Amino acid sequence: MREVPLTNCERNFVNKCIEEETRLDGRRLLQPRPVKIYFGSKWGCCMVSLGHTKAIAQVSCDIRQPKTFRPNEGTIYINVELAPLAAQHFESGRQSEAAILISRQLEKCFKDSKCVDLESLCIVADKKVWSLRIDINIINHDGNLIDCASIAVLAALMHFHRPDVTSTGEEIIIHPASEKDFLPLTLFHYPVCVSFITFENGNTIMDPTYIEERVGVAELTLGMNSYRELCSLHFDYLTKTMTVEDVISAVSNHAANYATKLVQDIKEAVAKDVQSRYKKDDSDTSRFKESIQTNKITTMISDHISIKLQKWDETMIEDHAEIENNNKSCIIKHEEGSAELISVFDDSINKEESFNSTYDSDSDNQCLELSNPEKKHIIIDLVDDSD
Amino acid sequence: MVEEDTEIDCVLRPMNCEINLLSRSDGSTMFMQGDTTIVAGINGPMEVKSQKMAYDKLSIEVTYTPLTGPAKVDDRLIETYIRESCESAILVSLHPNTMICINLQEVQDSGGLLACAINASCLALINSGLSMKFTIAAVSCMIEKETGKIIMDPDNTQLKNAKAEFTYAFDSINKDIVCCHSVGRFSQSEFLASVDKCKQVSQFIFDFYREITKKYANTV
Amino acid sequence: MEVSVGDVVMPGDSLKDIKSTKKEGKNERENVILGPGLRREGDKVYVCKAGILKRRDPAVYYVDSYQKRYIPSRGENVVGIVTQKSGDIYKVDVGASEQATLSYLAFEGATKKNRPDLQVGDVIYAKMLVASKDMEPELVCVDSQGKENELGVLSSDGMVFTCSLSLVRKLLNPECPLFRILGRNQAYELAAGMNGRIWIKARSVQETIAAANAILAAEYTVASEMQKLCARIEKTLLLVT
Repeated sequence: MREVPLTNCERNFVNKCIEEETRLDGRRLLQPRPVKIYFGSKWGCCMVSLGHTKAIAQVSCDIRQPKTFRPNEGTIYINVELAPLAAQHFESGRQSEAAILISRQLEKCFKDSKCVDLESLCIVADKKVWSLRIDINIINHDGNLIDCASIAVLAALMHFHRPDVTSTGEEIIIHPASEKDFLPLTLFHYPVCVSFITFENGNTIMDPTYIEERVGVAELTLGMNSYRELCSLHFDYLTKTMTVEDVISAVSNHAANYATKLVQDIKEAVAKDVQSRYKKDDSDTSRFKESIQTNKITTMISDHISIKLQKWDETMIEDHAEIENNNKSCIIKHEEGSAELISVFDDSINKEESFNSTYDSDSDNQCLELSNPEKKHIIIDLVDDSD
Repeated sequence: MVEEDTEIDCVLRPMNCEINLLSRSDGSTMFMQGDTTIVAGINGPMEVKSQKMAYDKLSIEVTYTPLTGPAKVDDRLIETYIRESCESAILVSLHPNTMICINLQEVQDSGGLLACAINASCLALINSGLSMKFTIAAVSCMIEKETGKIIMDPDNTQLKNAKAEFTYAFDSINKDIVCCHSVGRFSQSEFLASVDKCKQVSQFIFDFYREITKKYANTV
Repeated sequence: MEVSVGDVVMPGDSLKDIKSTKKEGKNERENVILGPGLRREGDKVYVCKAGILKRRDPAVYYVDSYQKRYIPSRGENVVGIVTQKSGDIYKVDVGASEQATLSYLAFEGATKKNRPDLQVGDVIYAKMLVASKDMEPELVCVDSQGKENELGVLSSDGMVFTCSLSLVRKLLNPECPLFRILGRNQAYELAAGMNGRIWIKARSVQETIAAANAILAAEYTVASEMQKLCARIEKTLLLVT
């Protein structure tokens, strides 16, 4: 499916808006959209929303052989998936150019900037190291995928805990959570991406939406960490133009300030969730439910539903009316049914059964005043006997 | 064997959902059964590639994306189940030469993933306004190893001592089975008993669909 | 489940007591018309969309449902985007499964020599002439008298945004007060397509954005609350400008 074409109306209008320093959603030029982070019950799983753009990240790990030129370092693999869920023009299956671009930018920002302590992921040098895999699934595309993805990756990495291992010479033992607590990753610094789009008239905006991305003429993504250091940089002209002047120096200061604040927020969110897990005995606490607002018109929150079910009965197919009478008739029904089913058996069993059932009806009458569960108990015993 | 009391209790995990969650999909939902969470989005009816075009009916494409790694065989299986059950529910002859995409994203799996995925896609279909013959509701249940008891809507910890696990989907008119998936060993009577129980439970999911529709229908 | 008029219905529900009113002085009964969201199977009428069942006299039944994707229907006015010029026709994207065609001659006063000047990316307001599930939809920008009648190219000074189809239906309902209330204090020009695209042009950028946001906010607002909504938006506008 092709993308809905951009109309001249939209192009003109967005350009005019930016010229007048207003934006369609009422933000200022260098104002980002609100960020929300929700963690899942597994370690290293989080859902991030940046305005309407939404992404889910999950960190997973397994044990591999290290690369020969780095025998004592673990590995990181970052995979970005742009499924048709995000926008209808994305294709499932093979990786698109856009997905590769985002993956590469994230690799530059997180892997090449050496923010994860890879040496601590080594178990046996040259033999076994932890290999981290980060999957990012974009579920709604409303512009600025890279920022949203980078926030998700950082939050997931900070949240992730790997199993502890002990190496006893030849063997290595991976401890489950019940034996030894899982260990968090060591991060040297905390980078995030901050994106900008420049328009024909020279104005630059932060955190573009989908429509702004389509109209803009040049994009700039800065990977910044909380120490105001630059970790990655990506600049690209989207259309041929010479109007873009030195954007980097104009916005880098603002980007650094924002990155510092954003990293602080992410840290707080992660710390809050991790601490609440440590306190509780079972660590299975999913916070995705919190993303569903209770008071919205399109949402529905329900509680545990307790149901009283009609008991299934083989005889129900034969006759409904009889069953409803009382328990006694059920037994008789059951007996009839079983008599048919196991007709090859000895007659003696059938006789015994009929005796049982008469006995049962007696006992039933006797214990009519008793509470229900007991009655049930007796009946079950009888049925077991007849078997 | 058969117990003679007429009523038993069962507890369903809480169902939560938000519909119309994604701005870029024609119909979307985030559906939770307990902690099991699926995000579903529908796109279409839209243009179809010529190799997938059916001249007399709507073709349905289902994409299921797991949380980690590329799609595996099990994920393809879920796609097939959803495609088959949705195809029976949608009035496919109304939109020939077009297709719809049902896109699902696993967010969290704590048991009953297939049931949750089917319910999420049905809710997304309801939200998309596509013409359907009926709605479908899926219910999962399991048989406990030691006691032989049937537990409805089990979660991951309960599933650890399961002898067999079932997922059934029912239509909303006659409560006929649309889809049936089982894992493990079980006897015929256990199977029939579980079908019957799930059939009764499915009514609560249909009620849930109606409640959520009721909530927004009067203002939208 | 059996349902009657005014209920919230789900696909698979069947309709109870479909009756056509018998007019006095006429012998034959009037036909019952099943609108969108309903279908007949044998003697029974089934619902196939989730929404509210409505009835209009004499005996028109339909389901008012939420929908985002447009399915072309004859006679509806839509806002389309020109995507391609080929031969004697324009290809127009209306948000449906297929692109619609629009002939060069389907404009007021157009002849073989005097062609309309449309560019790719232009937005047009047009009427569905042919819409069938098996055929390519066709648009026209003239009425049956050959007059333009507010159809045609929309100026590229305005803004186009998308919304749900049910919102457009809600707004175009004569009982909906939103456009009237909005128009009291600010001037604007607007074209609402049944395909869920709205073109709007007001005096300034701010006013256009404000009006567009008011329209989008109307999605989850009931008619009685719209007065409040507009007041709030006017208030913010005065603060901004």
